[in-house]
Amino acid sequence: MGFLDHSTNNIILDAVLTNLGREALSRNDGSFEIFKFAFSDEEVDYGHIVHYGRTVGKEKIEKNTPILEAVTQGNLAQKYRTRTINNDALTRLPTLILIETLANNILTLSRTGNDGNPTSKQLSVQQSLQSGTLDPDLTDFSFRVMVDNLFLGISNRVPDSVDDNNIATYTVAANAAITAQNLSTIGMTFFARSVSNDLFDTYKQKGGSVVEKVVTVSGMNSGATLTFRIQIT
Amino acid sequence: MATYKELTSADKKTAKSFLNQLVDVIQEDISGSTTRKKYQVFVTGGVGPGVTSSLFQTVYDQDFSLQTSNAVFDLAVGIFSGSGLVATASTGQDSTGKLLFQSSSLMMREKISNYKQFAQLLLGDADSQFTAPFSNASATDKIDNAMFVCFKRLFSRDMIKKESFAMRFFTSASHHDRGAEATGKQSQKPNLNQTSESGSAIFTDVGASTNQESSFGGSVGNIVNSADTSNTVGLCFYEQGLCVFDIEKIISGGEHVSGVIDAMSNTSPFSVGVGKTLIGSYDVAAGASTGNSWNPNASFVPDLMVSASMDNIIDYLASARFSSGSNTAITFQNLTAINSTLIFCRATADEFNYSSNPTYVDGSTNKIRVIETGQEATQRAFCFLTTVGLYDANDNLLAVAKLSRPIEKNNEKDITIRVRLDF
Repeated sequence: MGFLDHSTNNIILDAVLTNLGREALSRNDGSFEIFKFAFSDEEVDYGHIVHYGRTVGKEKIEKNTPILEAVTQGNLAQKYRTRTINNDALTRLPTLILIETLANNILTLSRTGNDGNPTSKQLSVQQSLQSGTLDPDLTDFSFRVMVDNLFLGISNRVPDSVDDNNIATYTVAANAAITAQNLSTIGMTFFARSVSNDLFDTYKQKGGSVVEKVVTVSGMNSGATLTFRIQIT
Repeated sequence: MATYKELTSADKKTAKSFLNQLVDVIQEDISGSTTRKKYQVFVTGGVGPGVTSSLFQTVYDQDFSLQTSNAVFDLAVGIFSGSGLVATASTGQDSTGKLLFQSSSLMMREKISNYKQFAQLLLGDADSQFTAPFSNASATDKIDNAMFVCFKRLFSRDMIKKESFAMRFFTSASHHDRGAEATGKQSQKPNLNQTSESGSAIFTDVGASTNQESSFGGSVGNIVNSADTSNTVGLCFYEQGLCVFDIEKIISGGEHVSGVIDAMSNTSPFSVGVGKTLIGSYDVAAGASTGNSWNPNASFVPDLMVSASMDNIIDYLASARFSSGSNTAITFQNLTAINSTLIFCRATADEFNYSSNPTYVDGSTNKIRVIETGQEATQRAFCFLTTVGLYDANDNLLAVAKLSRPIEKNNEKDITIRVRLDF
């Protein structure tokens, strides 16, 4: 995947069907129907605005941000979507934080329970806002959680879908209690699946004895995202 | 808060456009043995070791053993079943109606079948005869011996563009003179393995747009000699990506032929090998009076067409008559119809002004980083767009488009991005 030519003043659009798009087209059952769109900004580093100010920072972003070609893997193509919020005077946006403290932001789970590590662990994710009250539109009443379905699961929940890369997507409702700042929390228990040694050895880190997977939690309303790692022993 | 926006029917349009690509085939790709693939599926029995031959050969754009090579076109020959040549060469029919030929002729039934196959495909009747010109043809315009050039779909695409086809071809053989004819002897120099150097002609479909004719096999144009456009030498079937040439006209069929060809033979004249024979030569030792064992007066048509295997004929046409060099031998433009869906992704001033990019918010203060400290009352958030995702109703990402540079989106700007999906 290379960069797009940005040497001309014309803005060129590089469009491709994703693997899901091609699959839908091949089904020939009308499932290829484009219904809505979303924008995103994966390449942009808004830190330029902090470093250079709005005027120069914008120019830096516009002119010095080469854009990569489109990828066809649907789950990788749009990581950071832009958002429409009715309030155009917002100065702060919520983030997501883990309430439990994890060493190096890594949770360790055991697939057997024989090595001193737990086979499951409850974690809580909370919306966070340093000060003030969150715009009610941005309170997350549900969250989307994506985990590797080969090695991990969420107790007592069934994934909405599992894609070709074995990424399971769960929708998890927030706890009923909403704080005075309009912030919500979810609790969920991650467990390690009891997989065979063969499968474990295939995916374990080179020279190591653990399989590491990334978990992504995103708020359905705020769009805020949190990622952390789980190591399976 | 929303990250998606639904599209209305007014946001989706369809359009059709056409793309032309120029295709060039160079001489040495046609003449070279490593770029021309044979499929030796035909095997004779009978006298000698037998003859193996292809029914057609494929020209590649590089060594066909390399995986990166692309097949450009197939080359085949055929003979019309009702031609005088077949009537003369045939010894009759068996009880099933199968044409019989002498063992000195080769693959006659296969050559006839090839012709019939193309006639059925292009003219709608296997017993029909090609004529060049396609319509208003006289008796001399009937094609008895045909060379078929069938371009692969990779290169011809939806069709060959009219009035874009041209082929450089050498109409005259090397050593075809009959200088020794006065003494009853033919030239001793073989020419089947000699690249032609004279009679270069450009065959083109000029005028095909003026008189747009059509046939059972789609639109058809006449291929003429560019030096004399009244001399029609073949036909181009545009949608089929296929050209038919009258061999007699393009190779000066009456010229003398001489050389070694495959044959059902258990002797080895001039030590050329068992299973081979000479054509157009005579036995010097036996003298002019008796030295006619190898058809000393042979010409390309009918002798080579009847006596040689398809591989021998195609080998000769490809290796000798297209010449061998880095010049263009065949060129044309193809045409591809592109059906496009245009999707207008419209963002009003109030939409898509915030980002979920992790660099957008300061993690310790939750402040939006594009609003400068102290300017919260006057500055409004903005973001940059680099990607457009097109989704179905179930949030499945069907297509993705990338902008070549980021575009700022703020609350004073509405943006329409037109995404074009080609099919």
